[in-house]
Amino acid sequence: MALLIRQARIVDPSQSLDAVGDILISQGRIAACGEVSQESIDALPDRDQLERIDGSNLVASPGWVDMHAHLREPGDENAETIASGARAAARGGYTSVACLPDTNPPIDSESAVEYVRLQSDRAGGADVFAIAALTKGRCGESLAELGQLSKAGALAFSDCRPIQDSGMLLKGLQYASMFDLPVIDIPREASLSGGVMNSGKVATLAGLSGSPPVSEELAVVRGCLLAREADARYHVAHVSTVGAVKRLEEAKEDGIQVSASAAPYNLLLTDELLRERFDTRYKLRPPLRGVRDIDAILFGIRIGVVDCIVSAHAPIATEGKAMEFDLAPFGGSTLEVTLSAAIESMHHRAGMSLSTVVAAASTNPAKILGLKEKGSLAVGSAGDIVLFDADSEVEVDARDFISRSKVSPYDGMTLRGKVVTTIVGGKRIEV
Amino acid sequence: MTEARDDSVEWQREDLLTLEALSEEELSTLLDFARGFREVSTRSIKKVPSLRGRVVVNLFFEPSTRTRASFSLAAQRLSADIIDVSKDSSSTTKGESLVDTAKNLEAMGVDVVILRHRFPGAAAMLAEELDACVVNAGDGAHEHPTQGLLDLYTMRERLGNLKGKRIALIGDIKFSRVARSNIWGLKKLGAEVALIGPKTLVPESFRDLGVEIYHDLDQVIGDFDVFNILRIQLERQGKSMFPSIREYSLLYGINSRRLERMCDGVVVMHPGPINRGVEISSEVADGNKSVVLQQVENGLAVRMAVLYLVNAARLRRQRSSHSEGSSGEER
Repeated sequence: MALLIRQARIVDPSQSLDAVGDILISQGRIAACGEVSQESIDALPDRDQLERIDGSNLVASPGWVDMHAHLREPGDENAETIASGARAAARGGYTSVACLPDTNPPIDSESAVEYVRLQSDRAGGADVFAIAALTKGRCGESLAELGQLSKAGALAFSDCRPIQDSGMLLKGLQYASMFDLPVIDIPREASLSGGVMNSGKVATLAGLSGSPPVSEELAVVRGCLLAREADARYHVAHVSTVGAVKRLEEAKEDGIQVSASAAPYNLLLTDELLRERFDTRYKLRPPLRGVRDIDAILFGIRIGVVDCIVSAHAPIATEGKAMEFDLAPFGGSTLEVTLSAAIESMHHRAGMSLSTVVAAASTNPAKILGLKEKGSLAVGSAGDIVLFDADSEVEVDARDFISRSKVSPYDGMTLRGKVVTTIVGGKRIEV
Repeated sequence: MTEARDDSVEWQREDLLTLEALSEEELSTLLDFARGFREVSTRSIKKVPSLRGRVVVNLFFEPSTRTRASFSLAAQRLSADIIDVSKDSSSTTKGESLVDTAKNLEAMGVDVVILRHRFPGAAAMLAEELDACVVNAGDGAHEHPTQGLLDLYTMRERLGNLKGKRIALIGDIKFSRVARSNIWGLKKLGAEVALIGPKTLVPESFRDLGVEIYHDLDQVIGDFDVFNILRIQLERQGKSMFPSIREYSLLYGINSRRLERMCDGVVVMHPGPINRGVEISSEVADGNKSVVLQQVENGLAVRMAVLYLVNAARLRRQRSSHSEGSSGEER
């Protein structure tokens, strides 16, 4: 089957392209992008089954690539499965998702990595890849078999929790660099980050324990220094503070191989939302912080210090959130609306170009994860495309999510940026 | 309107969760009602029929003597039926959630739930889930509104109008719900509030509320009309926030030597329970500047006022929705 998208605004930072044109997809790959001649259509082996999509008034970008989603399978299938997560992702314009290894049991063996790939093939949504644990059992005591995990298809390594032992993180960075895979760090200094929200005025008034921004900044500084020492690729997951952005900027200037991501909820929402009510929807990691932090992260994205946008999808079964704020788990379901949240915050509010947004949401994460055929609409790339209306409004109602988790920090918000069609491997995904 | 003559008509709240949410008028209404109920305690029969047939439950998940007994007595003096549920006797020890426990009690016809809980926001959560009135009797380090009210009541009793009066809260501010309720209430009534204590127990962000912060007690000791001395909450501190009880007591303990340097009409308060010899010495606690026992006495009147007002608001709502219902519509 072949697909022809006509007259869409093609935004593909990998080719520095932002222009109206056509895209031709055949046998799961991009066959032409920009101008599509009748000859090239006629030359297709599957030209008889050509489906046409009218792309006028829509943006066509390479399918979005999420490098930070918890899909909970195996272990917590009430919150999410790889199948429900993959379909939720596709609905949200994501065509590739790298899922984190903090499952039960954790993804720290070849068979676990292969299981993720297998479930992904069955799901019929976005492609799901595995991020494997850096240490066995995510215990921080001895390295997992990174070589074998890499062979099995792991795209990166992370323990999904702070690695307190600096020696262990250094070893992990050194060892992972043999396979040219990044180590993804959760930037929290454990002794400072026991709080349930951002520290500061709101936490003080609520009587809730706070995690101070310096906890994140410290972790970033330590990780960058260790990455320099190991001459290894280091990725800082979801930064949320002024300090972290500043330190990342310095590290990049020093030539350290560091990249970083941010979640759109940290670009849209502040801890003031916890001012009146103790709403567990807003119990998140990283926590919602202040306006200055939002500005700093946006600035970081603009100057390329913060490379990616991630969903930070951390689905929680609904009953899991209906409890006292201190007891409720961190997280929320975001995959289905991260595109809208990113377009709203980065493009509409902060005035960034769509190219900048797409680079952060697709091209850059694909590069960091080594997904060579993803994140681009260049001829020969995977036929992964999202068509969205950048101005159309979405009213988020988490009850309608495909995700098994119906708790979301975006619930009730009106966001501009609406996914119209998601195409994975040349196939339109119906969700 | 049948209730037009009821003074409590200005009071619309069916829950008392914080002092932060109250307006100055609401605070005054509450304190005025408390004055009325104070008089009941002086009668030979210390009981009024205001809440006859109403059921009040004390749902206490943290240890408490004073607050719990005070609420019980307040409910009894208003002729309500009161039941006591504590952490050890409740099904939460079997894993039942707080909301489920409260909903079960509500199904038995409870009208007011008085909640003491270790987590901030617990009372607000119940208020959202229940039709019954919810009175916060302390939620973690967040608020303890009836303690705040009785402190305000006692200060007003001693000093009159609190506008411009200088009030010091001293000690463990960070973990203190009493401090937060005091700050909100005092600011609303126009008092000047200062927080005194070690840096590790006095979060800087309180300055955003327009309060002063001092770490050297002896430098400012003569400046205040009231010292409200807060208990060191050893149970709420994960790790020690200061080197030793001895050092704390030497830097911030209120003893008779320090009392002498305070201004003449100073009022010394403590919400209890007192750690004698730590934050306050026995001579001061039992001395003539101390109003510790008056606070307890006033607490009873304040809690009667709270129970009365939240119930009255709920009854009014129920009656008005009932009369709407009888005009035809099935509800």
